[in-house]
Amino acid sequence: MRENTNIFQNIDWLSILLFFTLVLMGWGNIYAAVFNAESNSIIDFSERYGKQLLWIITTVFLAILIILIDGSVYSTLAYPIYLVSMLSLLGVLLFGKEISGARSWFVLGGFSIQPSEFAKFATALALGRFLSTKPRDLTRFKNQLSAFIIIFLPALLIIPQPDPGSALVYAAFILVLYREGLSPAYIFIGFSLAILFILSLLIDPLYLTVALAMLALIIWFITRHAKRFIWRIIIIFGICAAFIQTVDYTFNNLLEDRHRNRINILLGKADDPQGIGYNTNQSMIAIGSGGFSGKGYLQGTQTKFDFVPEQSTDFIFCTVGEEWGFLGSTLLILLFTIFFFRLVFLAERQKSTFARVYGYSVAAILFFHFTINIAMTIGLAPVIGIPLPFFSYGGSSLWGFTILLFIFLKLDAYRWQML
Amino acid sequence: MNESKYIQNRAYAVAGLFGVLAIAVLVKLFSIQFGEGKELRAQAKQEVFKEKPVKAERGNIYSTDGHLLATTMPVYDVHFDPVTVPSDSFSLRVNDLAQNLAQFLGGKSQREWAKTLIYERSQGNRYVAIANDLTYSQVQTLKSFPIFNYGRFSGGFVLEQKNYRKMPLGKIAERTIGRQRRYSATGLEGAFDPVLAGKDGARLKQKVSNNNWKPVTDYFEVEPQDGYDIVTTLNARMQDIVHHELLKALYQFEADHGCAVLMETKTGAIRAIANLGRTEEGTYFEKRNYAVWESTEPGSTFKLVSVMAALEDGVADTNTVVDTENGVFTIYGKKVRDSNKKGYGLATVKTAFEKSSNVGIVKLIHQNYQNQPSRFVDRLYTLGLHRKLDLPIKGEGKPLIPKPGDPSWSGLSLPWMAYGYQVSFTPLQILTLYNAVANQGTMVKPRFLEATRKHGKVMEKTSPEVLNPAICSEETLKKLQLMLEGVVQNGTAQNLKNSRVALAGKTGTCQLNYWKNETKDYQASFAGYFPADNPQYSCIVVINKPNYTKGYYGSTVAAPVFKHIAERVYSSVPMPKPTRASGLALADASPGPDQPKIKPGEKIPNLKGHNGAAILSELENRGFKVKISGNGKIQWQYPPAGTLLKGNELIELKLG
Repeated sequence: MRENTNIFQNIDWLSILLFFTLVLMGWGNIYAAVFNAESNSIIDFSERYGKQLLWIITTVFLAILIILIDGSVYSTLAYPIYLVSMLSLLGVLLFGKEISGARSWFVLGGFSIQPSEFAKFATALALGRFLSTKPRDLTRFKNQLSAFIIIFLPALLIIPQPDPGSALVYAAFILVLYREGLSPAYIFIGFSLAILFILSLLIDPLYLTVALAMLALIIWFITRHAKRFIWRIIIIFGICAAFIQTVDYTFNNLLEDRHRNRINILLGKADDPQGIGYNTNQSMIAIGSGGFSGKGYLQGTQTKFDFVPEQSTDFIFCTVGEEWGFLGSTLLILLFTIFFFRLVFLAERQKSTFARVYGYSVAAILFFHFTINIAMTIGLAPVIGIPLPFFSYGGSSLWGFTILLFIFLKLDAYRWQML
Repeated sequence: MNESKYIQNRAYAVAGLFGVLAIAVLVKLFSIQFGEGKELRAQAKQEVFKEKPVKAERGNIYSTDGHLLATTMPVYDVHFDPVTVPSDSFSLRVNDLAQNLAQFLGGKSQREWAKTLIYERSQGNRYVAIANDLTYSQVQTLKSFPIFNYGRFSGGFVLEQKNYRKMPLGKIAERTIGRQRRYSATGLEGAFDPVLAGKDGARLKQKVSNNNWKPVTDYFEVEPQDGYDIVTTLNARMQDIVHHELLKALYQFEADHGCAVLMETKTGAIRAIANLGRTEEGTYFEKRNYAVWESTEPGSTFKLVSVMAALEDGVADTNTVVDTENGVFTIYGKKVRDSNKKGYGLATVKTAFEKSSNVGIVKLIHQNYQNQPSRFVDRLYTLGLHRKLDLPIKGEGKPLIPKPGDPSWSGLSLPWMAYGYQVSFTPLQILTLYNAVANQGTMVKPRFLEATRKHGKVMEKTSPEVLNPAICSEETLKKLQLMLEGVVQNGTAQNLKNSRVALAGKTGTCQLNYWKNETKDYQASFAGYFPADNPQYSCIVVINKPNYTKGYYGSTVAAPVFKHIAERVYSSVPMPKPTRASGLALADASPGPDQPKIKPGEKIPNLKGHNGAAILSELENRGFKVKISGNGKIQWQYPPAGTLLKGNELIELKLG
């Protein structure tokens, strides 16, 4: 055991370097996205880059504060934090301010705060606490259920804002549970249902049911008519068939127009007559126009003047693509990937289950954001509005990610005392 | 597999997933930036940067006295895209919006508005018309309504600006000012479109949202050249007079349509031009530019040309006697009749002209030219009457003058032409001829454009254009002028005699469908000039198809309009002092400082040398009966100076 003389010696400086690199790159790109030649004062707090600069500065203090707080606090306060976070999600539904159609913000003074951004680390803490209090066998249904409740309660509270994108992020925790011993069957089932969902949107449910029945028959033949399989096959088929029937209802009644449209466009079912694929199309044009080495910093033409809506938030990546080209984009993806590997590495070296679970949660959440965000800007995923971690404009998300990351870095630095 | 190995594998699996997805992203990125890159780059350029036209500002149209006749104003159309509005805020606020719309726009009730909006949303209509031609402040109000106040993207508020050409003086001279549309241009707007329109510029613009283009640079690729303003010859006040006098007569005689044109004698500047056509409801509006377009048989106003020809050719003089017989003259089996039905017996050419004797003029021409019709026709051609005036306004009617050798030429052609049939002219063409007589023989072209201006600075001034420096000899001209004055003094237009300004002109009453056996339609006209002794303006009034029972003679229908126009125009236009006494009404009738007082019970002073008109009004005001003759100053009086006046006796004055 090493003496904890200086917390700053134990901290993982590589992660901090990656963090600040990304944040500053992000700020540079927000500046580029909002940039116009007429107003070029960097410290213009009416512009987004000015506000983001304020957020970044406060972030430094926030990070130091988190590191200075005793490491045991996070585990101890995990449940209370989770409770407060859930209450804030409930509260925002009742008292929040509606901005562009979603009731996701508390407005305090000039700043708006988005509680769903803070619910992520709260959930990660609670999950860590739950799995570490005593050995939890995740093959047992009871434990699985509790874990799922912890994960999906915030998602359920976020959906009605409505903000299905942020809610979807909580699916990333499945990866953490997998690492902690959850049967891959869940992931398999999850994927299967997702595929079934998409298939039943593309294919008439009747044909799909028939096709599934035939598949079931084939499997039954392959298993050589084994009696012990027949019930399983029938039950699985039955569940699948029932699921297919509910898809239509879910799709048409539970989703909103814009989500439906986005999914339809992505599936090629709708021809995008009303310009809903406009964002993605423009974003792809922007990225594509960057070519190998990009047009150069501030030289982008596609990404100026809020040309792509949400240019500085959800679609920040196309600024990178346009101005820095394939080289810059690859570098960015590389930085993120290194960061994720580093986080997984850090999580694996944790001695305590709490820290490990929390670390995996951080990696999974960041990764999920990263993948979905970039995938949607390049047309691989439907447009669900979630930010690119550290990069996108937005104080709440930057603070949320900072807290999320730095608690883990603190836990990592503190790992020798947590035995 | 032991526990730790098992767990380690899972860690690798998670890391592997990260890696695989990162690679997938990279692959797609690669394909976008290299595979599809070229196409996307081209698309980007094409979609995002375009040289967009920058509209040049259209010039204004002014009257010569500085009134704005036509100008461009921005107006706005508002549409609504209900689909972009989130469903919860739509259903929550649609009734508020409907109420606001109902209150602000009217037309529909709140319920109807709500119904429309909800229906259109359900139909997916993204372009629901809300209101057209709104002003900027109206738009601001509309923008503050519930739902609309969310703006373009979540409020579905679609605003489009267009330019609207406004005529601040309303319907006056509307036809002449005209309209500029993409494919049809009328009136002065059309005539001077190249000047007014200017040249559109171009500017490199970048698409910022679906329908918004933002300039990229501070300069124009091609600088737009704003159009020039034009100053027309029209005088707003005179136009107002002419318009309303014509309108009054049209209403009075329930005519189908009519026009009146006022032209400045020296310069040919058209100071006023009114063209009014009747609607089915019996009201009138600027329907067509009759003065420019409508070519008809002029009738008796054309007798001026016949007499001019006869005088110029020396075949007759004003005192040559013609036998108007009993008002009927049969020629090749057709009858020419005088309107008074019994003729004027033996009459001089002057009398025949003044009384507008058809028989007299027809016989004069027929007898002198029947063997040499070309001589008569050639004179018309020499005058240039066969040519269009070549006006800037489109649609001028073509003059028609038959000539020997034409398939339609017959023995009747010449006599018919003599009194204005079988020839065809527009009112403006006839006016140009009369104006030449007024202008001492110089025929000037009617002008509509005074000057072009840019930012108040005169760019180009137009000057009068002479079509024919002398239409006839000076001698003939004097005679013609005397005859035109005679028409008013002794002839068909004696109802114009007591005008406040001396008038000269000729009546015209033309049967329009004489070849048919239907109800007769007439065209009543009067062409002339004023003041008779020193012409400043010429004017033509043409009224078509007046109600037969209300009157149809040029003298009763058109001439009074001429008189009223002349009096009103003259009374308010500074004029050079008349060189010759020209009628009582012209003289100042208000008592001067040395005005003699003439009261009952007092002795009458010596009135010799005093202004006749002033004394007349003084006497009449005191209740005397007055017999007066002549013009100008008092030469002789009865009772003689010094006689005691009782108050009811007749006072005779002779002026000279």
